[in-house]
Amino acid sequence: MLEIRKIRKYYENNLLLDDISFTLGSDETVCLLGPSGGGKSTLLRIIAGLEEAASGQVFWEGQDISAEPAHLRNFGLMFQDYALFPHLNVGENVAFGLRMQRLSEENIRRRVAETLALVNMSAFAKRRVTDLSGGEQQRVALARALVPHPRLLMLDEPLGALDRALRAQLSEDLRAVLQRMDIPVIYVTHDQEEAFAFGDRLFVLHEGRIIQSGSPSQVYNHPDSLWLATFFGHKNRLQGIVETVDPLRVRTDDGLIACGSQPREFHKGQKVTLVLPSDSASLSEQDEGALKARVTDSRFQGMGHLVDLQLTDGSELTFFFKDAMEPGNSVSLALDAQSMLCFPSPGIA
Amino acid sequence: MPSKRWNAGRLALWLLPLGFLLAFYFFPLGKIVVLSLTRWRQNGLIGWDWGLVGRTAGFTFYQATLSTLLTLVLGMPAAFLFSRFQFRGKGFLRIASTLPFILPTVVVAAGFNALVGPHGWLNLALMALFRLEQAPIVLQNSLGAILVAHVFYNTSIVIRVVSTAWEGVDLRLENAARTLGASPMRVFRSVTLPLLRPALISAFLLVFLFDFTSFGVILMMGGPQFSTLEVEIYIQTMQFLNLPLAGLLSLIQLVFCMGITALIIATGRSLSVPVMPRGNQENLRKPAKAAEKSFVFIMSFVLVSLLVLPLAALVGQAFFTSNGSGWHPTLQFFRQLFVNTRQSVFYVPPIIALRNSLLYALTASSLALGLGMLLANAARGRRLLSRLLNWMVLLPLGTSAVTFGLGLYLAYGTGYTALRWYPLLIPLAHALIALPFVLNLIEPALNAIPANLKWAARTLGASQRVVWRRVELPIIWRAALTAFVYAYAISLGEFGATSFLTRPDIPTLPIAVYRYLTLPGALNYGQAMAMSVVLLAVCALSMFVVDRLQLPVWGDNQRKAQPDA
Repeated sequence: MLEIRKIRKYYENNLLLDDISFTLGSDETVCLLGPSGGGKSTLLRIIAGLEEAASGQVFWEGQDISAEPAHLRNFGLMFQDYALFPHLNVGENVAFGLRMQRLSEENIRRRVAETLALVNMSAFAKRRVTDLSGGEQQRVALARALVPHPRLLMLDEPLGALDRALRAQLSEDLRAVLQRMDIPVIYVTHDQEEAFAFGDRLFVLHEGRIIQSGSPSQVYNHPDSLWLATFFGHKNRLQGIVETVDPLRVRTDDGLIACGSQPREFHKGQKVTLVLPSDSASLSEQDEGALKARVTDSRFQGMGHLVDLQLTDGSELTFFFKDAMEPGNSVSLALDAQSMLCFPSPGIA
Repeated sequence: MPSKRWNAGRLALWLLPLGFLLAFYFFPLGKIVVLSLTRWRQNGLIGWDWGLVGRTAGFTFYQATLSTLLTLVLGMPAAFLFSRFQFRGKGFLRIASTLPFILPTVVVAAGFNALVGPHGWLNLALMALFRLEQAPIVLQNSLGAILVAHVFYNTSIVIRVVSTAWEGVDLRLENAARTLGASPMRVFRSVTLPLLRPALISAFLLVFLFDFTSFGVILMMGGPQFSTLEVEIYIQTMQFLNLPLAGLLSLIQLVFCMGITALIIATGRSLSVPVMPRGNQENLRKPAKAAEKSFVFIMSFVLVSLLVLPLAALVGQAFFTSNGSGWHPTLQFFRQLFVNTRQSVFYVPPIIALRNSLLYALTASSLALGLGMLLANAARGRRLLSRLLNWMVLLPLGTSAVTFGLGLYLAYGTGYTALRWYPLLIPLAHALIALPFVLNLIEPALNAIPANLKWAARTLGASQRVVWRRVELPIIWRAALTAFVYAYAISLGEFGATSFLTRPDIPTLPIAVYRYLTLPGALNYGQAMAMSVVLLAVCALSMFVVDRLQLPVWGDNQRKAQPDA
């Protein structure tokens, strides 16, 4: 359906998008995940035809549409700040795209009503958009983007401007609506939880490149780089040297740590950085092969407790446990080898 | 953006306003330059009356500096009044202090004449009270008259610029300074004043520019012994037909004005149109202490005396007549407007002047608005072009009205083509004079539209033109209408450029008032008053419309576009 081929874009002489390429299936939802300011919105605008790429093409069903003006593409785009027309009421905002298609008044009225019902905003048709709450504006913006039956729907941080509670609820509603559409969707966000919830496929955009793609669980469980592991929030790190390659075992100052299969090859004696996800440790009965640590702090986190630990060599790790621990106590930890993430140490090839 | 590629349509949208500026601004200016240079080549340095030039330039500076300082002295406390206090009658005072900005000079001259002139109410009252033979207040034809009129005019600018800044000074800052041990005077000196400095500077420069290029006030209120560059250009052209000297004076005037305009741009502000903002309510308080109450009372009294009394006196003179035994209400001055008397200075009844003025103003304001829209639209999203545009439209601002008049007169007003061009020259000049104001209203309004709105419309299937028609235009219509009304009022009262271009059989209202004011006789005087009242009414109506329109302010939920780059 949609194919992006080697899109390149500069922003004030810096490379913002560096040869971005991907294809999108006919009713697939892909999620573009990356930090704010990373060019995600720019990429959407290029696809929509609102901005021109320095090089590269956009194809739709095999045809190069790079030169087609935005208003002829029939790609829906929903903006983070919704961009509702302040001079039109809710109904007229939604009707805008249909008026552009010169449909009959009767037709327009019917479809506006249908779509407003779809987003639970039927009662608001005559309201001024400036009087709506953030969540209501979001629904109107979604309805406005959906009503002309776009060939492709792009959502730019659709939940980004909402507070936490509202986000959870609207996220559900949005998922339900999107599942009823059988059009390709590109969902842009900087929030990993959103990305995991919405994407069939996940693209991670970093420094102008798609550094990793795959299903959300695949990408989350096997981040390809130390940067992405950090982006996902993994803070526990240990330095070490590869002791055996198969099975992969890493010698650290705190003992030998076994790792499950990794996406890349290592060689014996290589300096590596281990990333230990915060849910990868459990208390161990036996001392043999366990990690010795002292509890320095323990705090309640709703589903369980976050416990700060200090290892014998002084390095500090934080793990998630079901139960609280007493600061000052010594514990033995068993690590889940399959969860361990192993990366070549930065600066060393 | 693919849509921003050049094509014939876009090019035409550019060439139209550009061509207009070339033909009716740069070409006429060029004419002035050529004229002076030709004479220069013939006579060199010697052939000019340098004494006159020096005296005139010196006086222009002197009166402008003095007027500006006086205006600031009154405007500062007035700005304080508007930005910090909530009191009864504030709305009225707000409109009253906005009105002068667009009031025609002839109306102001007539107003002060009606109040403190030889037959003004104040003099008549004092003479009756103290049984005096002669008018005790002699303001007419003095430097004092010039200064008072300038203060009357420009206080509104100071109030507008400074009070906007003052409202922006968070009261909490001042409170913080108080809790840190600063006395109220110290707070003003160390906190408020430094924060106001940019506004004060820009107010000073703007007022100075307007005082420097003041024409009607000097001519009508200063009398023959005072001559600024503007007035001298007029006298040299109209009385002595010394066009080369007028050209030289114009060039000097132009250089000074451009200098001041450059300073205005350099200090980061452009001219503001005094639409009084109904700003931040949080910093407003009701006067509570005795000192505050008396301040509010005294300031209101001073402002009303200065801004309202002359206009009230004018209305009074137009509706009352004296028959030796007392004053009686009358409509005869208004009835006379429809009569073509033999002694009339024109060949037409005065009411025709009103018709002319209204038509000219309609043409001029439509032209200014159209040009403004085209220019603002063309400059959008193009940093270099929009900078260039800022300069190009500020040039007319930095060009005095009289220079406009002279230039257009030299370029199109003489010779074979003159007759055919004449009726059009006046609205053209007025459109150019109003253009900076129009742009100043439209450009920010256009730029405040978030890019996302246009993008959203584009993705919904709207072409560039449809976006303009269905999104941008509906959003900026208030600003556009305000600009139109301003341009209309400016054109209606324009006197300087018109005085060069007017023809006896097609007078404008201000020209007619001027003629009547300078003629002796009670009927002529009453006629002048009646016509001034008509002008005043139209201008007041314009201001009322502008005030009702309330320029749109973008709310919090319509954040400006900040594309996630």
